[in-house]
Amino acid sequence: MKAPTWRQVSTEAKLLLIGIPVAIWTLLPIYHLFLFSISPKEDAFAGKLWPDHPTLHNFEVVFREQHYYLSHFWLQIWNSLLIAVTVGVLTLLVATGAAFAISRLKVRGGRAVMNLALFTYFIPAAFLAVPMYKTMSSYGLLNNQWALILAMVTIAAPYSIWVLKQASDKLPYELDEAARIDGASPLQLFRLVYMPLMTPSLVAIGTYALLLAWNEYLYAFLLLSNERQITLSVALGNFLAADDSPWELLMTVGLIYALPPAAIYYVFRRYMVGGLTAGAVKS
Amino acid sequence: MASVSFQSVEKAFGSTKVIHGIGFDIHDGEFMVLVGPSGCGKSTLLRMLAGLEEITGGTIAIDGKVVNDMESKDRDIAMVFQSYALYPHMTVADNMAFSLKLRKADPKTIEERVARAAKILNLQPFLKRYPRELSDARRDQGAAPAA
Repeated sequence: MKAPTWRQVSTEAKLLLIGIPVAIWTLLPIYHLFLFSISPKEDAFAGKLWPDHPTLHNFEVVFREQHYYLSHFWLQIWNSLLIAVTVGVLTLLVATGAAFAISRLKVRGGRAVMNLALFTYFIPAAFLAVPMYKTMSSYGLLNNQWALILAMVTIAAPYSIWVLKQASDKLPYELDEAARIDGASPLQLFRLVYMPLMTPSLVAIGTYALLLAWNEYLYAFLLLSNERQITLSVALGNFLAADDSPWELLMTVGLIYALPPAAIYYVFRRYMVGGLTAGAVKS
Repeated sequence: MASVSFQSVEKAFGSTKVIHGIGFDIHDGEFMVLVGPSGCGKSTLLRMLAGLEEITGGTIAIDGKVVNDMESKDRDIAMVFQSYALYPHMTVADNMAFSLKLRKADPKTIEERVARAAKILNLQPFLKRYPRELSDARRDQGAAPAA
């Protein structure tokens, strides 16, 4: 084996110098979350790297809803799940349809729609919170989970359309033409050729919208108030309303709340890479 | 086979005229080669015949029937694309059967016709493979029966 050159060593060193702090920066809060969740209440603030008496008691309290703040834990996590999945599915429906129409059917005004979609990101979502609240109240949707679902789809759709449009532009147009000659109607083209080839992008965008809704706090907090309607992220925020917040339970619920996104990323990671269209056309 | 007839066919993209009134007849069973420098409109001509481009003027007839306003799929034609245009998510057999499936042919007929085409082209060993698992030459072979 050849000895590494100075250049290689210094590149490696630079990467490590950046990588290690970033890793610590990212992992420390997660470790903190974990540490709190296995500490008994009295030990939570002891400032130790590992508790003297690690326990799973906090999880038991959470799962059995044995605390005032946790009385609707299962219902609220179900709310979160239901809303996130609905947002994911609806966003996919809207964005795939739009991207297909603009990129493959080349409908008139498609470019304008794309530019408008991008333009919406000049306005931060938080600025839109008040108008959105007003709109939902005019439709009588306040404190209804559809308000949050519609708001989240509105926020997720422009980016999703943009990404899916870029991805569909990369599919060879000859495939559409071949399908047309083969006798495919636009709907058949969509179902039999477009959708299967877009699967990786669709999974990526579906996951994006789902996690966006799962993690949302501001809109959920504004649009929902009944404790049987709210998502778990809002319920978590309510923990802090007390003078003596049960931090160890807050962190336990936080850890539980963070697990599904991690699992989703893990399951779908192979879809996050493309390469499905290899071999379609001569390059 | 069928005869093909072009009569003063014109094509313009926006204000740029690319085909200035071309006319010819190809008789049934005749073999026709179009030659010309790149950009002279060979592909456009073929695409107009296939119905992938609308024509600006004149008439195109296949087997004596004017097809100007007919959809590609109703012209009963096939076309091998320069760049294969195989569906990457389908096997070679599925690629070959796609058009028949869309036309709702019964599965037995589809199987027979795919088998026959595969035999002629020596593609039998590759029927279950995906386009990305084929060599360039094999992809060309696959594109013909798929069309």
